[in-house]
Amino acid sequence: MKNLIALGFEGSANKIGIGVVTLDGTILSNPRHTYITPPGQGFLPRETAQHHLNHVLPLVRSALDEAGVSPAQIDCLCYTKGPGMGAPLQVSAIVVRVLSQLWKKPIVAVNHCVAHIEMGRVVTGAVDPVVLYVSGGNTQVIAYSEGRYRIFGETIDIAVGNCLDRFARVLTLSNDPSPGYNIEQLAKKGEQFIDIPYVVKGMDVSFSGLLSYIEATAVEKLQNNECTPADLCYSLQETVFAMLVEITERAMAHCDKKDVLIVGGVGCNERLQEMMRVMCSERSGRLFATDDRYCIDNGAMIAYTGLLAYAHGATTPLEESTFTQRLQKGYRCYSSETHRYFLSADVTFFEDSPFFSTSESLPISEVLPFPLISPPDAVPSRPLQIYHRHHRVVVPPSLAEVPADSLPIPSASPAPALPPFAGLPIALRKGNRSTRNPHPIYNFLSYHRLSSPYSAFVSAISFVSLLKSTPEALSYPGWRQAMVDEMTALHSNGIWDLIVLPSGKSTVGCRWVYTVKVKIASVRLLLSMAVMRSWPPY
Amino acid sequence: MEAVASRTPDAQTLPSEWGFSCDLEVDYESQEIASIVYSALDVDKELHPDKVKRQMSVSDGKLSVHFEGVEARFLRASFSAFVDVLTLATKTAEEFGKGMESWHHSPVPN
Repeated sequence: MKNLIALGFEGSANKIGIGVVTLDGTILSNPRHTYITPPGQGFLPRETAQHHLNHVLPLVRSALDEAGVSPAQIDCLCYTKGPGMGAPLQVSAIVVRVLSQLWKKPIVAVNHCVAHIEMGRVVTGAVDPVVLYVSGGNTQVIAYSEGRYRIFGETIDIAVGNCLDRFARVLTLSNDPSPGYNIEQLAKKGEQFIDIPYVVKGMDVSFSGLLSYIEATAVEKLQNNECTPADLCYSLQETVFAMLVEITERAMAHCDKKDVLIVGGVGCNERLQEMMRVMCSERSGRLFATDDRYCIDNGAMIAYTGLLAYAHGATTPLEESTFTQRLQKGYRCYSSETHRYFLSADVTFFEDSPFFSTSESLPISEVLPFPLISPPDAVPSRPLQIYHRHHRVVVPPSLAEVPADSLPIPSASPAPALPPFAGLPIALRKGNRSTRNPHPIYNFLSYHRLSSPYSAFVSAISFVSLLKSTPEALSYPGWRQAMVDEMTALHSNGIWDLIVLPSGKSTVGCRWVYTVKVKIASVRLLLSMAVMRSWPPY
Repeated sequence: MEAVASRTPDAQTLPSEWGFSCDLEVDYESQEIASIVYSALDVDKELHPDKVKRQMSVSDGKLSVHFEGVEARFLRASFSAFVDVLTLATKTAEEFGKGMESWHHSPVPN
C-alpha cells in the first residue's frame, strides 16, 4: 500500500510553518518562518497576518522541494482550524482552499492542540502519558482517559508562555529566537531567589496575579539594585515551573499514569524538562520531551495529525474549511469611562487602592445586578434641622444650648431627611445569601441538645423581637426606653449640636438599628462567670 | 489580470442605513481561476454583517465584489482586509496553477 503523504499548514500565532509528512511519521520537510517583533513588543494579529502573507508561498515551494514531492503525490492538505488568532489563521486557510481546488486534493481541518499532542507522541514514542501542553496560548494538563482526551488542569487566566513573554517585555529582552529562550539563558546566571506568589488552585494554576506582582517588584528592585534581571528570570522560572510540576503530578496520581509528555513552545525549556524529570523518576516513570523543532508550532504536526484523520476517512468540505478564533478567557471587566463590560485576560490587580473613588458618583444600577429601590421624592419646604458633629474644642457642653424641641424622641426626626435606603433593614438592602442546601432539615433549628443555662440564654435572646421601623419600636416600652437612653447619652456627652441646615449642604441620614448584639465570646464569658459565681442555672 | 475599483460613498442615492458602498472587479481572464478564488474567499463571512455587507459574483472570467457599509471606517477596514486575502488567493493561483503535469522542481529560494 502506498505511504500516504500530507502537506500541513500552521499559522495560528506568530509562526508560519509548512510540513510534508508520511503516515508512518517520517517528516520529509518542515520549514517555518517566525515573525519577530522588536524587544518590548508583542505581536498583533494584523501585522502577524501580513508577515504570513509575505512568507507562505515561498515556504510552500521550499517544503515541496526539500521533500522532493510533487503536488500529484500529495494525498491531503491540512491546515490549522484553531484555536489561534483570526487573521493569521485565515492565511493558511485561504492558501489551502485555493490549492485544494487547483490540485483536486481534499482538505483536513486540524485542531492545533491535538496536533501538538499527536506530534509529541509520534516523535517520542510515548504510549499513554499525562500530557503537559504549555505554550504562549495554552496551559493544560491532559490525559487520555476512558476513550477521550480529558483536561485535568489548566490555567484560569493567561498561559504560561504568555506570562513569560510579557515578563520578557518588561525587561525588554530580545524576541529572537523567542522571549522564552532568552529568559531561560538569562536565568542560568541567577543567584538569588526572590519570593513570587505561588498560585495553584486545586488542579488549576493562575499566572496573571504573579505576573502583576513581578512586573511591579521588578522595576522597583532593579532600580534599587536589590537584584539583577537574571535573578528575576531565575525566580520566575522556578516558581511557574514548580506550579506546573505540581499540577502534573496531581493529574498523574489521579489517573494512575507514570509517564509525562511535555509539548508546546514552553516545552523545549530545559529547566522545565529537568524539574519534570526529577518528579517522574521519583514516581518511577519517564519524561518524554522534544526539542524546539517539534515543540514549537510547525507544519509537520498539522500534516501528521491531519493525515491520521484522513487515513480514518475524515475530510473537511471546502465550504466548511473555516477557522475558529480562540475564545478569549479572562476577567469580566467594567469600564467606568464607556460604562460597558468587556472581557480581558490582561488584568492588573491593585489590591490596596479602591477602584471607585469616593467623589465619583456612578449610577449603582449600572454596576450592581440587583434592582435599585428608589427613595420617596419629598422635598423639604423649610430649612431642615440637622445634627451636626460637635467640635471637640467647644467644651463644656451644656444642655441649655439644646432647644427644648430636640428632646430625644426619634419621631421628631423628619422622614424626608432619611437616606434612600433608610426604610429598609440592612439585611434586605444587602440581598440574601443563599446557602443552597437542598435538605429540608436545614430549615429547622434544634435547641434540645444545648446545656440548660445556654438553652435558657439562647431562648431569651431569641425571644427579643427585632424590629424594622421606628414607629414600631416606639410601641415597645423596652425599645423606647433604650432609644431615649441613647439620645440622652449623646446629648450629655456633647457629641452633637442641633443647628440649621446650612445652604448648599445636604443631610447624611442616620437611623435606628434594633438588634441584639451577641458575640459567642460574650456568651462564653457569661457562662464562665455563672460557673465561677455558682449562679444557679435556670 | 486587471483590477478596477470604484468607490461611491454617496449617501443620497442609497438607503440611509447602508450609506457607503464600494465596488471591486478583478479580471482573471479565466472562468476557472475566478471561480476558484471566489470559492476560497466566499467561505469566510463578514465579521460584522450588521455593519458591512459583501456580495461577490463571477462572470466572463471576472470576479466582481460589492461592499456596503453603515460607516466609512467599517467599509474601509473590511475592504482592506479583503484585498489582502484576495491578493493572497490570486498569487497562490498564479504560482501553483500551472497544472500538476508541468510541475518541475525549481531551486529553493533563499
